Order: sequence, then structure tokens, then C-alpha cells
Amino acid sequence: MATVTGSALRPERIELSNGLVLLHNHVPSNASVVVRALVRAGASRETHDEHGIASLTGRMLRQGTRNISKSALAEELDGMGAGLSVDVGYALVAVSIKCLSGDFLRATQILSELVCKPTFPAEELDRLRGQVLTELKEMDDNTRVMAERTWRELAFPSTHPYHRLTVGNAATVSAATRDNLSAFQTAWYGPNQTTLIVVGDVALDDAVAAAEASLGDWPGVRIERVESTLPASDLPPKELREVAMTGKTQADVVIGLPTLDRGSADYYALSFANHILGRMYFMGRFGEKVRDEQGLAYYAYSELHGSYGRGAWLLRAGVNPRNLDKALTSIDAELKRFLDEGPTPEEQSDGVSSLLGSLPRQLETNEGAAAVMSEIELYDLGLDYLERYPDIVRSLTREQVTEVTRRWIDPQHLVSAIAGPPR
Amino acid sequence: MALSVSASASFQQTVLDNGLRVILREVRERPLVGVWMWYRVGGRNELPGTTGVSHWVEHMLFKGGKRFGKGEITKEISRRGGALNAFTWIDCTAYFETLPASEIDLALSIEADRIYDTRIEPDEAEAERTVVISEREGSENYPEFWLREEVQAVAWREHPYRLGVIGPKSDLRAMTREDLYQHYKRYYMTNNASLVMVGDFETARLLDKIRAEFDALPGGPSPAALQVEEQPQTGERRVTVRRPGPTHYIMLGYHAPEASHADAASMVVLSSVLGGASSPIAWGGARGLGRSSRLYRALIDGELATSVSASYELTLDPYLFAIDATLRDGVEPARAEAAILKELERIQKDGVPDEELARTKRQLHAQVVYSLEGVTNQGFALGFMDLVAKDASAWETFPEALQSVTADDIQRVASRYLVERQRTVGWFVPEEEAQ
Repeated sequence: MATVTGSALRPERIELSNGLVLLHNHVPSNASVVVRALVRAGASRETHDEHGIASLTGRMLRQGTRNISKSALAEELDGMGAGLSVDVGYALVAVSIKCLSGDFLRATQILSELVCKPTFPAEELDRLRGQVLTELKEMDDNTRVMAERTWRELAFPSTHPYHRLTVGNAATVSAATRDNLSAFQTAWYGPNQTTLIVVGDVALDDAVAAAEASLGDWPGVRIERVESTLPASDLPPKELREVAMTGKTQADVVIGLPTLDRGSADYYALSFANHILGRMYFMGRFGEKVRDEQGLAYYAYSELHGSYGRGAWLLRAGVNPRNLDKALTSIDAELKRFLDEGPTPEEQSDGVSSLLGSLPRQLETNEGAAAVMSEIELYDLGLDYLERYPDIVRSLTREQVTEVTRRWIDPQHLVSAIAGPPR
Repeated sequence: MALSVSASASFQQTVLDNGLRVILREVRERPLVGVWMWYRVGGRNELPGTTGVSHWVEHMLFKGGKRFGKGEITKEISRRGGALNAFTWIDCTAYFETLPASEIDLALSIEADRIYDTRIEPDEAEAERTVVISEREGSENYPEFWLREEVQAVAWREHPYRLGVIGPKSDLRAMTREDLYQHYKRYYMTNNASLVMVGDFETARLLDKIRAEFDALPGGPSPAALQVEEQPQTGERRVTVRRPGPTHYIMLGYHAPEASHADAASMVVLSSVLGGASSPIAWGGARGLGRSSRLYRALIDGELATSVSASYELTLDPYLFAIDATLRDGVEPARAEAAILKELERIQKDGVPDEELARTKRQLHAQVVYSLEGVTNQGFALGFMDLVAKDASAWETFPEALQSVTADDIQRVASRYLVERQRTVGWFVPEEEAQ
């Protein structure tokens, strides 16, 4: 198996006195840096009436702060050649700046302005609101989005944040005020809810100094673990729902069910099963049966969402409506075969070698390394996680993978959503 | 005996006796290698009736040859922790594998096998027909796809660029296995290909391995050069697409010069001033740049659109400088179009201030740096520039040329190319409004 450097395998972790955690990895091969604040202020923090507030709050961070106007921020970032992105998920808001390594210090200062001192100007909120309302219309017209939205509505109870997409809806987006956003930011954005990831061509000492200077005096907020706010959810009954959409030619399909959380002892075995079912080789068994052998779809793959609370196992496929029944039958049969027989000895062996052999590739870019570091911190995997990972994967047995898959993927609870042209 | 045509500090280029161009760059930081095989065939080499054949052939190259049976290429790469894929574009078809450096022989074996010995079995070709149609249908679900296809079809009269890459359903339904096989035989040969490898290897030893795999393969009759010459456009062309959709979309396409043209660097900087920078030589880069650009401020901050972009791509023949926008709900396309034209006129009339030009160049420099992260992206840049600029060293010289572009250059190319007589305008009108 190929090896990776010690630095890439084991990041440095420093906790500042205000609770902010810095994870650092020195990668000098490209003269750039990714500096990313992971704030535990995603959509899981919303009350039911606040649907979309986390997303709007995240998107408003770059619309003006106490010391930088929106316009000045745009000019400064472009002048540095730095890219700023804000991604709002269920658990986290990820505020990332990718910059040339010489601009790291300033990029960290800007990042601290965004997460600590946003002002949420009312006129900018109105401007963003109009934009989001159009984006929501586009999502209503998007078969992939509609399939996932419908699947979530069936798979999770209405009280659960995973029941809905994070973006909000027209009513809640229209009603949101700057005071709502400011209150949400004040409640949930703080150093003790934040992990700062620095990966790239920056030395550890410089990363620590920048974090201390820019975020060292950020006052803390109340600590509430994300998983503690998630309601319990029972497994849904088996159900299929179709959404007819005019003007479309392909149907997008989502099939799956809520499964386990990232910290579950079964996570690695189920993840391995998913690798064989929907990823390894070329989109796994589903891709082989549905696309390669029968030509029924352009894509058919599966994914396991390890998260806080019950994540989900999902299969996604894009299918011509004429082939839908055949494709669904084929998917059912393949899943049943796996539940009956588990992986073949060849699949088990290939699964191990493919997962371990792909590690250097995953860590090749700063973004890739940052993603692994995020997982280590968020799910308490330990700084030696990547060093232990080969043994974790090698220890999995076919029997264990089969048994765990049967435990978590019960066909009687599979929920299916199809969005596409009327049939 | 191979001829070494170029050796710079950053890569070594060799042409084998059979015409295969070999470009090698050592990067010893990680135990990885990126392998690219580029073929000089794509949408521009197709005719009506078999449009989409290059892309369909690309799919077939994963279906088995002499040494590797159906599915074995992906299995062999995957079980070693590698990744692979391919793409077809208007000017080329390219295949890549990124895998542990210890597995370099496997990649060479795969590429040496499928260059001549892909079987294209009739039943496999038939099974892939619905996959390719499904790929097209996935794109058809998006309004932007219909608009771009219409604008391309109208912007050219003669050049095959008007046909795109995926092909219309009628061609995809009618094409035969024989069409695929003939196309494959016509264009897949050592003297129509470049092998680019970047990563953890010693160049001299790798070259020996490459010779062992490829030297025995014969070159073939060189594909005929494209004879089509697009006549100059003499006035604006307009097209409207009326379909169900969530909002209006608009696209403006201007005929623009090819990658090897002296104005290419200026066109890249012009597109970056208008819509923000992206790397012109490779995939990847940072997200979220360009919010100080002209079109972002006029259309997004101006509350006319939710997204806007300006793009100029490096191509073998003159292609399109394109401006695309998704309009806010309720905004009339004429209003957004007027706002775009106003920004173009401002540059033509007043030029670009030094500070703005410096900001744009810095963006371009940074995006190029970001886009060269990792062996896969570096292999792309070397192969792509070798193909479109006909010189792999352009992966360094072209980014340098961007930094030499002046404000006068930008004003000049904006005035020369972004003019009414070279323009095709497309509107996507949501159908319920059109009726």
C-alpha cells in the first residue's frame, strides 16, 4: 500500500484559551492555503419556525462587517486572488478562504471579521432575499433537488431538521429579518463552537499566531452539542412517491433510509458495504447492473451520510421514465442479493485495497486534506485516525459487513422518491 | 529511435517514431502518478448524422480490448486505490488515471491496449446507446442546456462547433456500431495522440517503459485536416427558446479567436474583468472570486440576475466568447441584455483602470496556481496546452502572457470582437409566459 507523509497523516491540534480549536497541516507543495472556520451553526440549530435562517445567516456574513463593507471585501479578496465560500449544512457552517500563502495572515483577519463581526445590513438582506427566492424557484424546477426534497419529507419526521433542505422556503425567507439573523449569529457563532482548519503552505507557528491575533479574543457562547438538539426519529414505513414535472425528459431517483450516526461502532462496516454497493469500480454494483449491463441509466450510485444523529444511506439514479420500472426492479434485486449473500471474497479484498490505496489521492489537495481533518475533529476520531484507519478497514470481515448491512438497511423501511416527467 | 523535441526544467517532451507525443514531468512529493492520454478528436471532427460519435466511442473504450475485458479497466484501477475517467470536448477526447506510483505499469498497459484493440462489440454498443441518451436527457432537464444548444446552432453556419459534443437524439438513435468503429479506427492512433504523465517517477526509466509498451505500435494515416472555414458573421443573430422553466436565462455569444491567436491572452483577461477569473489552462481553482467584476456588480448587485458569467475558452478554431446570466424572477431579458451591453460599451469606450487590471491579473495568477495543485491537474494543463496551443510549454508561457496584457489590449480586443455583427443572442423564456 502506498504511504503518505507523517504530516499528512497526523495534523497538529491546538486549543486556544477561548475554546477555539486550531487544526493545522503543513503542505508546502502548492503556494496556497485553505483557511476554514467550521462553526457548529448549521440548520440543525434552527427551530421549526426558523427554517432557512442558518443558511441566510451564513450567506449574509460576506455582505458587510463592522470594519469591511461588502464592496471593499469584494475588491480586497479579488485583489488577493482569494476565493471565499460559505457552505451551510445541517451541523456546520463552513466559511473558507483559499488564498496564496503570502496572503494567509490577511485572509485569517478577514475570516475573523466575517464570523465575529457581521452587521447584516438590511438593504443587503433585501437584495439577497430576492436572489434566494429565484433560486428557490430554480430548485422547484430541478429534478435532482425535488427527488431529494421529497425523499427527506418521507424519511424524517417533520420535527427533524433533516426533514427539509437547509435553504428554507419562500415563506420563511420572505419573513426573515436582520434581527433574526443577528440573534442566530449571536447565539451560535463563537470560538467554543468553532474549529479553524489551516492546511497548505503555512508553518504551524504562523498559523497559531494568526489564529491568536484574529480570533483569540472572540468571546464564547453557550455550548450545546449539535447531536443533543436533534429529535429522535423512528424508521419510516416503506413508501414510494412520484413528483410529476413538466418539460423534463429524465427522472431522478432517490432511494434510501435513515441509518446511523458517525460515532456508531457499525459505521465502518456499513461504509464498507456502501463502497461495494455504490462506489467501488465504477459506481459499485448498482452502476454495474443498472448502467453497464442493462444501459438503463447514466448514473446509479449510493452514498452513506455519517453525521450527528441518524445519517442516511441513499441511492441516486438518473433514468429515462420508460426504463424506471426495470431499473427499480434491478436495484431491488441487487440490494436483496447483497443482503442475502454479502460481499464476495473478491469484493472484500478489492474493497480493502481500494480504500487504503486511495488515501494519498484523498490527501493530495489542500481541500481534500481539510475535509479529512474536519471529520477527525467533528467526530472525535483522534489525531492518529489516519494511522489507525488501515487496521480498521483490514479488520472488517465479510460476515460483519453482511450482518451490519442487514441491521441498518431494512428493505421494509426503504423510502423512494422519483422526480421527472409525468408517466 | 525517439526524438526529444523539448526539455525544460518543468517537463520533458519526446515524440516516438510512431508519432506518439510523450510529455513527462517528475513530481516526487507524493507516491502518486497522473496519467493522461489525449486524442485529437472531438465534436469538431463530426458530421451531421453521426454527431456525438466521439463521445460514444469514449464510452466504448472502457468496454474491453485484448488485454482487458469488459469492466476490467475500472476494476484493476479501482482495486489499487486509483481513480479514472474520461471526457470528450469539441477539440479532443482525453482519458486519465490517477493511481499509486507503484502501479504505473498498469496505466501504460491499459492505454497501449485500448488505443488500437478496443473491440466495440455490437451488443455493448447497443447497451451504451441508452446510457448516452440518458446522459443527454439528464442535461435536457436544465433550461441552460437548451439555450446553449440553440445559441451554438445559430452562431455558426459551417463549422462543426455548431453541433456540440453530446449529439441530438436522432443521431444517437440512428448511429450504428459500424459508425463507432470507423470513427475509432480513423482517429485512434499513436500519431494522433499525446501521453502525458506527471508524478513520482524517474523520467529516463519511465521512458523505457513507455517505449516497451508503445514502440511496437504502428502509426496510421493521419486524419485529414478540417477543411471547413466559417465565413465571417455579418450581423446579429437572435434565437428564443420557449419551454417550461423557472425563470429567464440569457446568453450572448461573440465569435472569438482561437488559442494560438495573438489576442488569446487579452481575451482571457477581458473575460476576467467582466466576470471574474478562472484558470484558463486547467480544471480547479478557488470558488467565490469575481464579486468585484463588472458584470457581477451590474447584474447581481444591480438586482437583475442571480448568476452571471463571462467565459472565453482556449480552442483549436475560433470559438465563442460567452456571457450567460440567470435572471431574477420578474426581470425582463431585454433589461438584463441592455445592462450587459452597457458594460461592454464602457470597456470599449473608457478602457479598464490600472487598479482594476492589477486586481484581475492577481486573480488570474492565483487561479492558475490553485489549478495546478496535484498531479492530475498538472497533467491536464500540460496535455491541454499541448493540444490547443500546440506547445506544452504554453502551460507556463500562457499564464506569463496574461500578466503582460495591457489596458490598451483589453480595450482593443473588446472593440474588435465584442461587437453587434459578431453577436448571437439567446433568450430562454419560461413557457407559461410565452403562451
